[in-house]
Amino acid sequence: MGAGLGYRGPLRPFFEQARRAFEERTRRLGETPVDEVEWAPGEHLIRCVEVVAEHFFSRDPQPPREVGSVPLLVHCLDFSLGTPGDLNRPYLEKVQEVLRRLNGAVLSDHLAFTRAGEIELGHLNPVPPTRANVRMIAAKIRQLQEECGVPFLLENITTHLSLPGELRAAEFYQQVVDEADCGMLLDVTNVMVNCRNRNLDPLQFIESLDLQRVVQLHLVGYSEHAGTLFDSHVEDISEDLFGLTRDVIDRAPVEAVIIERDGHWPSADLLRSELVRVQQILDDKQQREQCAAPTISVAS
Amino acid sequence: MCGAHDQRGIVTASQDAVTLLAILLASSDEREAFARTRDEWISAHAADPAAVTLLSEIAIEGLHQQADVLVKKRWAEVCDNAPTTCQALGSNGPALFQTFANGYWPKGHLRHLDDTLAFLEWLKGVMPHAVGGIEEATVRSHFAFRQNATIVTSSFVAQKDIGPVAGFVIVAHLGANAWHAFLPTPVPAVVARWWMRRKRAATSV
Repeated sequence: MGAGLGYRGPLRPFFEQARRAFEERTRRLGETPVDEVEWAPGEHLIRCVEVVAEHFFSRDPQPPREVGSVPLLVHCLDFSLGTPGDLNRPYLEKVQEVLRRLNGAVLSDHLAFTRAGEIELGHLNPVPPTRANVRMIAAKIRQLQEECGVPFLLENITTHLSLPGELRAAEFYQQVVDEADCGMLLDVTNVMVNCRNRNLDPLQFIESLDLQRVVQLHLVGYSEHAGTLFDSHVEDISEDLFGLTRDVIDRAPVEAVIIERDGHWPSADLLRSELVRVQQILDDKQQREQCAAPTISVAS
Repeated sequence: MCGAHDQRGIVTASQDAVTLLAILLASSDEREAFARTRDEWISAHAADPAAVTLLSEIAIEGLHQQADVLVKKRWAEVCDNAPTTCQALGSNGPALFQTFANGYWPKGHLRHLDDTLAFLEWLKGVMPHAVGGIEEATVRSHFAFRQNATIVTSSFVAQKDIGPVAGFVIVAHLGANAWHAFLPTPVPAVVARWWMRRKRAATSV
């Protein structure tokens, strides 16, 4: 896959533009001798797209036309895996329908709870980091993987509330993923926000994880107010975030990086430059790996 | 709307750690009571040893901060849906929303629209002139359409987001307070046709 973008209504023209540019290149590629073309076949600005399952609950789930034929990654916000009890069955059925109709490549949700009892908080909250919760959440993820038939990725969240418990945050995340045997969707921005707000080193947090589990990354700028960072999803990606992303990609078998912007919509140029830069980081790593691969010399 | 969600009175029995955490995050009154008399609050509501341990060690500042973030996220969604009203409120907006938000938590995957409508409804009681009529009608129609019209959207092959427009037409046509405004237009039309046929059959006999 590669660098991708979260699908949001206001970004439709951008998706459309990128798809048309790709189709035009592909068409011209067919007409032009290969040594004259400046681009590689299959070079799409947006290599994969992440859709939020809930956005398709109130309509007939169809793959967004403007996206084209790139892989679709289905992201959920409300499985509330940290809530005691069984999986939310009506919600699961809707997600299954979205996955099926959109032919989603993977399914993801957060290590969090959004509701409990009669209360729906609607946004992500931390789960007490206990061994009992590791077992409970891992069992739900295994069930999800079995019933949905696609790999599941678990995402770390931002929280302003540190919960006491038997495990540290990184241990809790790691143990759930290990016990569920699923992948990690590492939100680089969330790591940065949590660590900076607690005076911790983001790289140290990342290195304390088994990075071989990391399949996908989330990335978006953070905002800062009175010395506290917030994952508002409305800012441009800053240099420190690009740096941390490179650190993760260098260490982990990352397949997709999704820029998940939710507001203060940037210009097409800026969004394009962010996508190109992320793809460049992924390509750099691939090139290094190819150079480091042992070559077979044939003795004459 | 999905129903009233006044959080007062929800702490009725001993509950698990996550549910108690949700109660504390949802209600500033409960947080205040927890901060004032933590031990009493815990012994009254938490029987599970894990919940007792968690609540005994939790930092109240963190709870307040997390709860503030939840309300700010809701406020941002409301501003997206009703930008004119929110802009008109100026710097008073967040504080007004905070007052409203403490007693109301929307439900379902359309919670952002539910929240916006409930806030506009509440605001009309506090500052009647602050709510733009057209904006409220648009949000109401969008919500009605999204809630009830999956079948209608399925039939459109254009794949455009016509929800707000179609919903607005439905509501404007039928009147915002009519119960049948929450049904897609074909339903009242089918019912009317059935009634006419029945009447005609009755007169012919």
